[in-house]
Amino acid sequence: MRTPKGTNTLLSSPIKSIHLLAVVTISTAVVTINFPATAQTPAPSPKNKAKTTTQTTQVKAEPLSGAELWALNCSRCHMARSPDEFTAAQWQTILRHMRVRANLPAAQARALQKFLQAGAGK
Amino acid sequence: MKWNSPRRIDSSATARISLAIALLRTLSVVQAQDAAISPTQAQGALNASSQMQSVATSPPSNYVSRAEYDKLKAEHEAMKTEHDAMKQELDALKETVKQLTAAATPAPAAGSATPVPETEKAVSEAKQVAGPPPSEVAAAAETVPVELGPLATHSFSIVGDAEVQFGKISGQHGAFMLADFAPIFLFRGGDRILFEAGFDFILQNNAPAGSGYTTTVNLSFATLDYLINDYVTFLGGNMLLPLGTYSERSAGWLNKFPDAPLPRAVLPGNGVGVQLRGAIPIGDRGASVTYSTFVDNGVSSVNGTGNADQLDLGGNVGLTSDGRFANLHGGAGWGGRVAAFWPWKPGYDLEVGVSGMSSPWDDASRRRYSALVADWALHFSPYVEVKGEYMNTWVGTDDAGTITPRGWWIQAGYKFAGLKLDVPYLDKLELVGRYDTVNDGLGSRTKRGTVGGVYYVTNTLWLEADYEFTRNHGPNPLPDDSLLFQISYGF
Repeated sequence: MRTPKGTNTLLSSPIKSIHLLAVVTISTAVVTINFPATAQTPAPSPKNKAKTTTQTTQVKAEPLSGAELWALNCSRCHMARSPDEFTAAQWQTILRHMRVRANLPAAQARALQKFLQAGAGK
Repeated sequence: MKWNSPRRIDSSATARISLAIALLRTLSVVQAQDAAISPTQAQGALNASSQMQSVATSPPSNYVSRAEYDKLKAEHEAMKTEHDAMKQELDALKETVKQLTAAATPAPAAGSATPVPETEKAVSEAKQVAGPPPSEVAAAAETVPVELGPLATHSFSIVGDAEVQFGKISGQHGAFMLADFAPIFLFRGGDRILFEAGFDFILQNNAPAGSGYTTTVNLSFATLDYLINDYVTFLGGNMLLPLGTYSERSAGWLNKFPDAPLPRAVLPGNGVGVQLRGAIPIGDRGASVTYSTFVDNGVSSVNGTGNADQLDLGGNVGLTSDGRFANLHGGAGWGGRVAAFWPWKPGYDLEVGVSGMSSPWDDASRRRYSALVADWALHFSPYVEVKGEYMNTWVGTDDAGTITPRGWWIQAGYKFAGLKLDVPYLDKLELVGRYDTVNDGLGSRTKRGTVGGVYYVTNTLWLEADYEFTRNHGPNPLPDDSLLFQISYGF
């Protein structure tokens, strides 16, 4: 659609929306960038461990297994690949690729990797 | 003298007689020895006779001495301790095997507080439509040695896809073509680095007046990815831009149609810059919020002006054709995407996202290009998928004011395996349909309906056939009705 030259009434509103979107995404990134990586997280003290165990008991739910995550995620965008289609080392590389490309949460990517490597081809 | 009868000879007498005989034998042996016999040997002989006496006077041989008993008892205790240790080790090994088997089986983890039979059912259904047999993983896992050793810290892999196509456009000759050969190089370095580069090799005639053909190689993306932590990953390089989802999920064996939705033409597919992206899990049932935010060189102008027909959505890569290092307009493009993914069981999920970008585009940086995209994808069984995108852009121009190229598309697919007819070939067929429309903002509009099917030879080898009904309006018509066949392979 054309608008008269120099008129920015249509432009101002969407740009504001995009600015808002950018602020939200950048803020999310800034906040989450301060979270330590799992690899860098010190092991919980026995006290914290006990607390975690208690919380788990209260929630009465365990994280999804790698097999369940496989069934949930891998068919979203493509036909799921069988674990024996790649070697354990290849799965490690592919899961890193998929973690980035599909924005998989890190813990889920690790569980998926463990599941796929358990049945990996040789 | 009266002799006692043999029956009346008591045991002490028998012992005395035995002792006497033993002594006589010992003496005779000593005499028969060499004259130079040592006192030690003599003492040994005496000891032997003493032992014989002892034997003659000891209880029957099936008795066990205290020393022997203690020795046997000690040996028993040691064996018992060893047995207990071995039993514990065996139990630990059994537990390890059990955990490995549970991890490799699609059923819920052992001990799960919330059994999900629906998960098993959905996974079973997924097996029918997705090809890979996760239930066989358990058996496969048993064959995997428990100790594989550490995986290499660096690894190089090639994945990707390739497509061969036959197309017949209304009013033109039909032709075969190598639609695409698109390898993706993946190099994993250490715990945090991944380098990925995707290429597109395409053959094109040297038309209209030239002979032979040209092989075109496009670098569709090449990024260095660094996993900062569980929630943030840094990307730098030639990025696929997270505007909607299509650009990141468009490979031939992901897209169920041989061509892209028309309105993708109003968005840039990639850009050179940097990006932060990641995911934050919500709860523990697989839901997550994802984000991507980027800064790049932005879009540009073909001839540097701000005229509407000069917008170039993919030509500002930082290096000019004469070798200079330059951003064509000096400004930066930026944008991002936020999305939520909510699965409620395998095969049933919803993903909704909103994304956008903004960038100057003419060389003078006086005109801006802005885009806003909404995307969604819904699976409401392993057999049914509906997804689409809506995109609107605003382009300030020198000659036409602000134009708004825009469009939307929606597609749906149904896998016949869902009918559970158990017909071998029908079970591998998916019926697909798509409707897409685009308005270039300069007076041309195109509406297209596509119907077709995908036959899954395997989970990565597809045969696709589609017929596209196209209706054009305006000065810049797009190709007319067409019939397309494609073989897609993902590797």
